[in-house]
Formats: sequence, structure tokens, C-alpha cells
Amino acid sequence: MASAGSGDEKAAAAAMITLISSDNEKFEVTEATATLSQTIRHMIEDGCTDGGVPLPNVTSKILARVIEYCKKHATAAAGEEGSSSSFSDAAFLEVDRAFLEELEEFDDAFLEVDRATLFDLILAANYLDIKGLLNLTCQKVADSVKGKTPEQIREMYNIVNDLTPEEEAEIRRETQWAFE
Amino acid sequence: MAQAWQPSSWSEIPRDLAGMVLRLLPAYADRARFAAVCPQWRAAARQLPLPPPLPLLALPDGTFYSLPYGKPFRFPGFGCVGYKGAAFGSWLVFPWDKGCFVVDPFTRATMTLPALSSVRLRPPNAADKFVKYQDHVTPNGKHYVTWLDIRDSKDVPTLHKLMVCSPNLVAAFVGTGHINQILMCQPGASSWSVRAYDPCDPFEDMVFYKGKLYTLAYDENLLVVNISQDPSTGDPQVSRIGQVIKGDPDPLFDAWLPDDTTGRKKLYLVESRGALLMVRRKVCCRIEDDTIVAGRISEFEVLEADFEHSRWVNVTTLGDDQMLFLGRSCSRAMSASQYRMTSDQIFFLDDVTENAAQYSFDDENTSVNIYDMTDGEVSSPFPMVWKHEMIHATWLFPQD
Repeated sequence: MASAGSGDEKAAAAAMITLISSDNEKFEVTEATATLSQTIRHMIEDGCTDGGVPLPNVTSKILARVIEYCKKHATAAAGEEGSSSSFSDAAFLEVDRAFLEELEEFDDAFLEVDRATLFDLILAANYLDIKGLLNLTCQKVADSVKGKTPEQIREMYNIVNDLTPEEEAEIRRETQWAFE
Repeated sequence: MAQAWQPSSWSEIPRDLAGMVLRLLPAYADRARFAAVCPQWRAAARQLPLPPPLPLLALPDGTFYSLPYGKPFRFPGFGCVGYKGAAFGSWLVFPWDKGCFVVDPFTRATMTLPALSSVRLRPPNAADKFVKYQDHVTPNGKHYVTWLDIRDSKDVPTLHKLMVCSPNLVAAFVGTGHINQILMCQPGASSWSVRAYDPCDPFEDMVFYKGKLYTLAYDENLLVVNISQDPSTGDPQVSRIGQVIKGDPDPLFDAWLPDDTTGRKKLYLVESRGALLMVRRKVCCRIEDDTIVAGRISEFEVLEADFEHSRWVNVTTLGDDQMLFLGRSCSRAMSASQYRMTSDQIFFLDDVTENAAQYSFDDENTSVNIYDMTDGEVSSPFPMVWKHEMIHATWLFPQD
């Protein structure tokens, strides 16, 4: 399996996966981190991760951010599994709650990005099939358009209004009330 | 692996991603605005199956609100001014002399129903054998009113509730005061049909549940209304009415109230996750001279229909992530967590009494109130307020 790793790294490499970005940068991550992505999980299950996993749709800049997210959440998942056996222990629950709060703070800070990065993160989360990250980024977009007019949304997201005059007329007729 | 096509602009995001964002927008107004941004987002909003948005709230003066926003909107044209209660979701009803006009203000679809003056009696010769209500006596010695009494009374019968059960079946409560009869017709027909000899009831609500029409009167008996077709016209008509649940109204209804007060009760029927619920709402009122003054205290009890044992069973939770929107004209259950809202919340309006003449309120204004089933507390978190005179505020549920 770990034919990509050199001999003396073999033991460690057994649980490591190499991800290769579109601009050919290599990232070594643990399997636990990588398998937050269903896409990569399936590749591992199919045994096609030898020589690294090429991700031609994700740039190194975005892949680095995605890995940052996965690392944090993989640790969280491991923590939850560890504490589930002692569910009744109040001290553990306290630790759990603190950890969840920390995770929420991490997510909030993680989303402090410009619209272009948010766009790339959504596409990467979709391509890599990372449910948590996809929900998080879509929620960010939903929250940002709440209460905004179509014109404000277009401005915010750099969208050119290419609705046909017919569509414009239809929209005016049906939902003009919502834009005033 | 070759590089796949990558969208380069927000307008090009894959449709299912646009759908994910849309699903996280609970307000109907936000979805409408999202759908007006560009053709791609418009297609997503129109073509993807989405969970129902939060309802809108329509007021009889033509104002409406898209929850949770407090900003007032108005539909263009005649909008919803002067409607008489919503019918089954998104339909607003305008009873006119020449017919009832039913409009969906979102899709602009319309339906014409017969005028309330055009009612076909069953049997057709019922009026010839008309006996005044003093002469109708039930086995237990009580007098009762029939449609013929309502028809001939000095008060013009009014539409109290209307429900579009299917494209071929519209059912309505029509009557005077609190006394109603069940009328039905199919859209476009020339007349309503009514069973002339049936006793009228203080009907509280009706529901179309699992393909059958059910009604509920003040006595909390649940009746199933079997429907047949007129052999010549194909118009729907009541064929048989049977009791499926024997009500057990609290005989000590007033006992929970202080001495100088009285209680008012309003019942609602609503389907939630496959079960039929009756919500019993009690309002504590003061009596001042001839006027009943409603206080702010409302108590709610939720009961589930147990058809097998023919009884109502109290439930303390709606279960399964549900919240309720209750209204005289239309009630609906909805899943809460999808919009990051809390379950076991009952959204309600000040619509306990139909006849406001001898009824007033402690406060001048009202709003949407929320009853929390977990602690019994009532809150009013929404910014919109309106005068109590407009008690016919109604929920509108688009996308039906």
C-alpha cells in the first residue's frame, strides 16, 4: 500500500495518505483526516491511493484550508468516540461541551474568508464530499443573502444580471413585492 | 485524472449546491429574492424539490408578512384586501354576491365557486316539508337548527371556513353566529349542496386527513363525512356522517379560572407526521358589563386521535422535531430543526372568537404569539403588530 513512502518511513506512512493538489503540491495527512472526505474514503477502499491521490479540481491554497478543517474535525470525531464509553461521567461531558464550543469557534473563524475563497471551499467540499464542510459553507452563503434584494446579492457575489426580458417581466409580476 | 469543468462564477455553481443554500433559507421572501438573482439560481429555485418555507401571515387590510421578517409587504393589484379566511394553504377566499372567488396570490391561479345564495337542497323537495326548528327534537329532547332555519333567518349566512380538499372537492362551514352547516361543491359548479334535515353544529374545525373529510364541533366529537357524487351532475355531496371519536370535553372547563372570569375555548385540527391532532386552546376572559375581555393567558392542550379506541389521547410533546402553526382558517405542522428552530412550539393568532361584537382584548394590538409546550410559557418574539379588530389574520402556506 505505502509504496510511495521511502523504506525508513514505511511504518508511519502506513496510516498516511498523500494528497496532490492541481498545482502539484503534495500534502501528507493521516487516513482519519483524509477519510472525512467520502470521495477519498472510496478511493482508499478501492485501493487506488498508491502514489498519492491527485485532486485536479483543488488548488494547493484551498487544499491546505480543507485539510486544516478536516484535521480539526477528525480530532473531534476521535474525541467523541473516546468519551462515549463514559457517557455518564459528568467530567467527560464537561470536557465534551468545552470541545464542542471550541469546535464552533474554530468553524466561525474558519469561515472568515473572502467570497472567492468561500466559493472555492464550497466547490472543494462538494467535490471531495465532505458533509460538514459543505453544510458549513452553504449556511454561510444562506446567512449572507438573508434579507438582501437580488441586486444586493448580485453585487455581493459579483453576478452579472443576464436574465432575459421575459424572465424579468415574469419575476416582476410574481414576486416584485419581495424586492421593495 | 483530467481536470473537470470548474464553474468560475457564483451564478454557475452546480444546481444541487444552489439547492442546498435554498434549503437553508426558511423565509419565503428570501427564496423569492434568491430566485430573481440570475437564470441559474432561478432554475434551481423552481425545479428542485425544497422543504416548505415558513408561512406568510396575511391581514385583511392587504398587508402581509414573510416570517420571520417584520417588514410589511403588499401584493400588487387588489392583493389580499378583503379576503375571508385562507383556504387550505395558499388560497385566499373572496365571497362575492355572484360567486366565491378563490385566489392563490403567489401563482395567481384562480378558482370560482358558487355564491352562498346558490345552495341545492337534498332532498330537493326539503323546503316543502320545512318544519321550524322548534319542532325538530332529538331523542334526548333537545331542539336543533337545520340549514333551512339558517337560510330563512334574518342574518345572511356567512362563510366561516373553506377547504380545497382536492381539485374536485371544496368543503365549507357556512352559517350564522357559531352555528354552521357543511356545504360542498366542485370548483366551477353552479351550486353548493347541503343536507337539509341534518342538525347544524357549532363546528370548530375540519381537516382533510388521509383522503377523508373530518369535522370537529365544540363537543369535541370527531365526525367523518362520507362523500358521494350526484349521479346526474357528478357534484360531491354528503352521503353519511359518522362519529369516529367520542369527545370528552373537560366538564370543569371553568374551574381553572378565577371567580370574575370566564373561559373561551377554540379547537384546531392539524395533521402532524401522519397523526391527527386536536389542539384545545383555553383563553381566560374577564366579564366587564356586556363585554368579554380576553386576557393574555392562553393554555394549550394537544391531543392525538386514537382511532382504534375511539378517543383523544393527551400528548405532552409533538415529537419528531415538529412545530405547529395554528389558525382559524388553516393550521399546519412543520419540522423545526431544518431552520434551526425549536420543536414543540405552537405559533398562534388571536382568533378564538368569530363574532367580535361582545368581545374585546386587554391590549390594543396583537401579534403572532408562541406557546412553548415544554414550559407552558407564551412569548411574542416577532416585530409585526396589528390591531385586534383584524382578528382574521391568517397563515398562508405557499407551494401547495
